[in-house]
Parts: sequence; C-alpha cells; structure tokens
Amino acid sequence: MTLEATAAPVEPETASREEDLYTAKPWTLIWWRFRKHKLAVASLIFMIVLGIMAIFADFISPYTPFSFSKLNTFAPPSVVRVIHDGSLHRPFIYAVKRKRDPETARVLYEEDKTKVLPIEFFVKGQDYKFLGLVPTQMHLFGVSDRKQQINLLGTDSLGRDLFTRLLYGARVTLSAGLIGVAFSFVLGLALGSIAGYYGGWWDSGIQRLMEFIRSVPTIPLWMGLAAALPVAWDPLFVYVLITIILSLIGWTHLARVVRGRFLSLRTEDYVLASRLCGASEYRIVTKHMLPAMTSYIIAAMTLAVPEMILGETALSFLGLGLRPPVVSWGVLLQDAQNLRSISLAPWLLSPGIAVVLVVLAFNFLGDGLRDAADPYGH
Amino acid sequence: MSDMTPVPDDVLLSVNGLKKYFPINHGWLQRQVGEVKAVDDVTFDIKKGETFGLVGESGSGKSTVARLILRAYTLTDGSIRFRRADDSITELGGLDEKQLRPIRSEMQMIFQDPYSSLDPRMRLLDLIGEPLVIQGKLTKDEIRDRVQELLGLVGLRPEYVMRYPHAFSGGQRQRIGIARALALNPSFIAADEAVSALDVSVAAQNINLLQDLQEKFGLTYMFITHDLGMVEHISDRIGVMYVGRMVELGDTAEIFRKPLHPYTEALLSAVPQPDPRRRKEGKRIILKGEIADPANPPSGCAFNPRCPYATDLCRTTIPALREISGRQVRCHHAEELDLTGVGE
Ligand SMILES: Nc1ncnc2c1ncn2[C@@H]1O[C@H](COP(=O)(O)OP(=O)(O)O)[C@@H](O)[C@H]1O
Ligand SMILES: [Mg+2]
Repeated sequence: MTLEATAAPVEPETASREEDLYTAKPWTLIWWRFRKHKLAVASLIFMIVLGIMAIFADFISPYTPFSFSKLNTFAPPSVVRVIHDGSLHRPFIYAVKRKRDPETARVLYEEDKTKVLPIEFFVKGQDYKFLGLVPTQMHLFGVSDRKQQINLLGTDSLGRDLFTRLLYGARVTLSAGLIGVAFSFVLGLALGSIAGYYGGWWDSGIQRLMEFIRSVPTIPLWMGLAAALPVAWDPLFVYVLITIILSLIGWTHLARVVRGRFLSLRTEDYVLASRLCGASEYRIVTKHMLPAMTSYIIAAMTLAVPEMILGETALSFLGLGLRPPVVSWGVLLQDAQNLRSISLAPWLLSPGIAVVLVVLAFNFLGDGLRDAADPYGH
Repeated sequence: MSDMTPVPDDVLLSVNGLKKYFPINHGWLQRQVGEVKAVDDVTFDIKKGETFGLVGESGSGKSTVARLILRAYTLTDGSIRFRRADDSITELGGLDEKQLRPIRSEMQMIFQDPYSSLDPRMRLLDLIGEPLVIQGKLTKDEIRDRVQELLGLVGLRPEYVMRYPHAFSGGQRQRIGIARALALNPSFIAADEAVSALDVSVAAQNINLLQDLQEKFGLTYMFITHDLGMVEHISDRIGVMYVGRMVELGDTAEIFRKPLHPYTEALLSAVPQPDPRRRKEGKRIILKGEIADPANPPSGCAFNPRCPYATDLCRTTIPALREISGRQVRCHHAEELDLTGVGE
C-alpha cells in the first residue's frame, strides 16, 4: 500500500512512527492525505477566514450596509498606503475631494496628498448590534475624520460602502448555500439510502425521478418556481423558500453518491461477515455502512455548495430570488447589470469576483476531500 | 420433509435437496424474467470433526452452498439440519434472523478476500471483538482479554489490538479473519477459497494453522476451493460441483485414485503433479469451452457439451445421483468408463 511506503523513512523512531500509522484513526489518515493537497488546504483556510468575516460582518465592516451618503456616490476604492512624503508611515489613506468634470458633469474623486487619514483600529462608528444582540459602536477599523470614509471596495450609486455590503451579503449567500445543502443532504441521504439499500422497485423509481429532475434545464425551472412566490412576502420567508427550491434540484447529486456507496457496501464481505455473527440491520448500517460513507458524503456536500451559491446568485441577479433590502451577492450584482455603471464603477463587479473565488474554493476543497475520502483505496 | 432419514450420530451437518434460484429482474418495474439456478438439488452430509472439501470451477455454486448453510441467503428449497452444541438437531431452513442469532455463534465463515472481509475502519479489538459484542455476554475488559487470546491463537502478537487492518499483509489479515471466526467457539467453519488469494508459502502456513486449530478445538471444516490439488491433503471427503449440482461425492483418496465422473477426471488431470512417479504420461484433459450458464443450462447433463464421452443419452436426460461402490455419482456412464486418477 502506498501509505506504508511513503511513511517509512529509516530513522531511529521508525518503529514508533509506523505504529502511529498502524493505529491511526480513519479520520487521521484522511487528514494526512488531505494535507498533501495544497490547493485544497489553501481553500479550506480561505473559507474559514471568509466564514469568520461573514459571521462578524457587523464588527469587521467599517459602516452599516444601509448607511448612504449623497456626497460619496460611486467613490472608487480607497488605496491603502504606507509611504507618505518619501518616508514610511503607518497604514493610511489620503482624503479625497469631490469634483465635477466641467464638460461631462461627471463626479470625480481626487486624492488630497496633504491630508493623511491613518487607519485606526477599534474605532467608534455607527451604531449596530453586535451579532444582533449587543448594542455597540465599536468597529474593527475606520478613519476618524467625520467627513471622510474608507471604502476598500468603493461605493455604489447611493454612496453605500461596497466592502461592508459584500460582507453582509456573504452572510446571506453563504448561509443560503449551506442551508440549501443541508436540505438536499436530508433529501439526498433519505432517498439515496432507500434506493441503494432496498434496491429493486424503489431503486428504479427514485432513479427515474433523479434522471427527470436532472434533465430539466435549471434556469427555466428556477424561474417557474420563483415566479410562483408572491412579491409581497417577507424577505426572510422568501430566502427560506429559495433555499428549498435550490435543494429540490440539488439533492440528486448527493443521492447518487449515497446510493452508489450503499450498493457497493451491501455486497462487501465485511458486511456479510458482520451479518453472519448475528449483527442487526441497524448495527450493520450504523457501524459499517455509514462510517464508510461519511467522508464521501462530506465531499459530495462540499461540491454541492457552489451549485447552491451560483443558483442563489443567478436567481437574485435575474430579480427572481432575493430582493433588496436583503443584501446578498446576487442582489449586489443587480447594480452591475448595466454597462454604464460598470464602465463608470467597475468595482461594482467585486461581488462577482467573490462568487468566483468562493465557488473555486469549494470545488478545490471538495476535490481534495474526495481524493482523501478513502484512505484504504487500492 | 418427513421422508428424510434421521441425522446419523456422527454427522454434524446434513444438507438435503438444497436449491437456490436467484431471480433475474429486468426493466422499469424489475419484473422477473428468469432465474439463475446457482444451486440445484444438492445433498451431502458433513461428519463431526472432518474436513469436507467442496471443489469445482468458479461459477459452479460453491460459495452459494456455503452462504446457504450459514443462512446468508434464504433457501429456495431443501433442508439444512445442524447438530447444536447440546446435541440437538436444528433445521436451519426456515429460521428468521432472530432465531438464527444463537446458532450463528456455532457456525462461522472465513472469506476469500483478506482485504474486503475486514472493515478497514475498525481496530482489531473491534473487529475480532464484534461477534462478542453482538452476543453481549462479556464485559469490555473480558472482550479485550479474549481478543488478545485469539490473536495469540492465530500467531499474531496480542499488542496488535489497537492496530487497523491496513497494518497487515494478506496472510496476516487472513489470520485476523480466522481469529474473528473463532471468537465464539464455533463447531463448524466454512472456509470459502480461504487461501486462494495468498502466495503458496503463506497459504501453506495458514493451512497448517487451520489444521492445528482443528485438532485443538475439534472443529469441523467445509473447505471450498477451485483447486483440487489443495484439498488432497486436508480433506477427508470431497464433493465435486458443476453448474449448481453435485456430480461426485466420496472419499478423497478414492476419488483421486479413480474418479467416476468425467468432470472430476478433467479437474484431476489439471492438478500439477510435482512427484514424477505419480505423473501419468501425456494425459491432460483440457476442458473445451466455458462452464455452462446456470441461467440457461444445456439440456440433459449440464456437462455434456464439454464431455469427451458424451452420448445422445447425455444430451437429452439429466442423470440421477447414483450410489456406486460407496460413492455418489451423477453420470449415465459411470460404470462403463475407465477414468484416470492420480496414481499412488
Ligand atoms: N447474489 C446473486 N445473484 C444472482 N446470481 C448469483 C448471486 N450469487 C451467485 N450468483 C450466480 O450463481 C452462480 C454460482 O455462483 P457462486 O456460488 O459464487 O459460484 P462459485 O463460488 O463456485 O464460484 C454463478 O453463475 C453466479 O453468477
Ligand atoms: Mg466462490
């Protein structure tokens, strides 16, 4: 086996290291294999950081998502600098001056190279409730000038800080992905196990259903389902319904994985061996079959998240999913729908870049997990 | 089944008219479109303390017989009578899983593939201890002690209890499987191609181990293999199967000396003979074609398309199992043919 070969350098402690390998828990072996997949590890770290940022979005972002500023519309991203007047300085931005192009009447922003605004940490800013519970004014960073703003990703047509809105949007988009996957996990696991475990008539029925769902083009299906949602409904309710719609389509992939695993495990000799010592069906499923499946299920779920995220984004972008005032990445991308605003403020596309990065990260992570899923594979 | 004779005192397991037909399902609604007659009317006894060899090419139904006896499958028809530890006879045929549970500790199986027969996610403690946990009579510490004792019995070090199967070679894994099978002190063990996947020297070691254990615990073995050469030294009697039927049954030495069925003769001629004095010159029968499909067997004797001695009778009529000089044979021409065995 490859594992034995790779983990046996000739050293004094070889014996104990081999013993470590021999007594390593299955999850430890999976982790050892996963670790070798550099891109997947980087993606995992990226996702953890992003997740933390989304959870603490209200504290990390310098403003609140709805605070607009008429005098700061379409402001370009603030450039964070460390060199002022040829010498090193703590991180700062220059103040900007708002001007109008005399010919086109377009608003222009110009840096004022004399006015240094140092970036300060744990500054007092706008009121918010930390995690929706504790009222506070403390923000992770900001500038102390009342008239000036730090906009890491610029502002939109109402002068709202895009970085702030992106973080708040991450909460909605990522959680929609995760909740959608959780729903499809329940559906996929239930139907996949019934198909794989009972086989026969159940299996063909569920298989046909899966084939049918997968053969329906997704966009028109989403549109049809989403069009059935009344406009006036509570945004939170719409959000839940959207995730359910996404998972009604997304469960098939997971069900296929679960079904395949059940089919191959059902004929595995060790399952028969267990049955022949009098093990109950419950014991066989919980002690032998599910543990052999969990890593595959986790990998399949990871690979299903980007589908959900893309689904949410596409639906909201088309105006069929979440609507303002809810902030999601798809909703933010609605602002980037016309060419004029893109050419005027290309930073409005940053939610799109965020979607791409997250989708890639989930795919790399899922690939790495899938490769590591079976440390005993020959 | 009132017409069955009582089980003689020296018999541990008595199989009568055993049948297993697997349905072939097809299409949308999984309609049954046919059946595979994997085991068809098989009858034999295994005596207490003996090793019974079951041989035949791959696909002849040997594994299915073993799995029926151990009741991994339900029977299509027939009877399996087993002598329990208290000397009572139990019919296994109609029992459900709950009724089988106490009997399962008395009969066990050793598998062919040492890789797929051990759950890779369990330590030896949990693997070998699983039967003990299921039967639920011992405490945790007692189970640990028993597992260590079993490891010692099969020649593995007791401190291996915390290791996972991937730490071991194929031969060692096979021993782990043996330890697991022994955990509940069974009286009967079916070894399905138990050493076929191993190197010759490792296989020989494991066979010696099995023989030692047989002596020590008075075990009865059913030893399944496609390799006749293997069973000569370890089986007291052998049964030869072909396409779900037992075609010849008798003492190992007798069968090797003079087979009565052409199929047995062909299998024997394929056994490599290291001893030059025992080699018969030039006589190696190469079987034509493939083993018949049990879903669609030829008419008459299933062996007739490959049999060098086949006559019209063989092509039309299924031969009955007959008793000839203390042996059972399923061949129309058993008396007339003078078949070649392996000389003394
Ligand atoms: N679960 C099953 N379902 C359908 N057919 C089976 C099943 N198990 C075995 N068979 C068929 O029964 C025949 C005998 O198989 P088996 O008992 O495994 O033979 P052997 O062990 O002698 O190689 C084969 O033709 C095989 O395809
Ligand atoms: Mg077999």
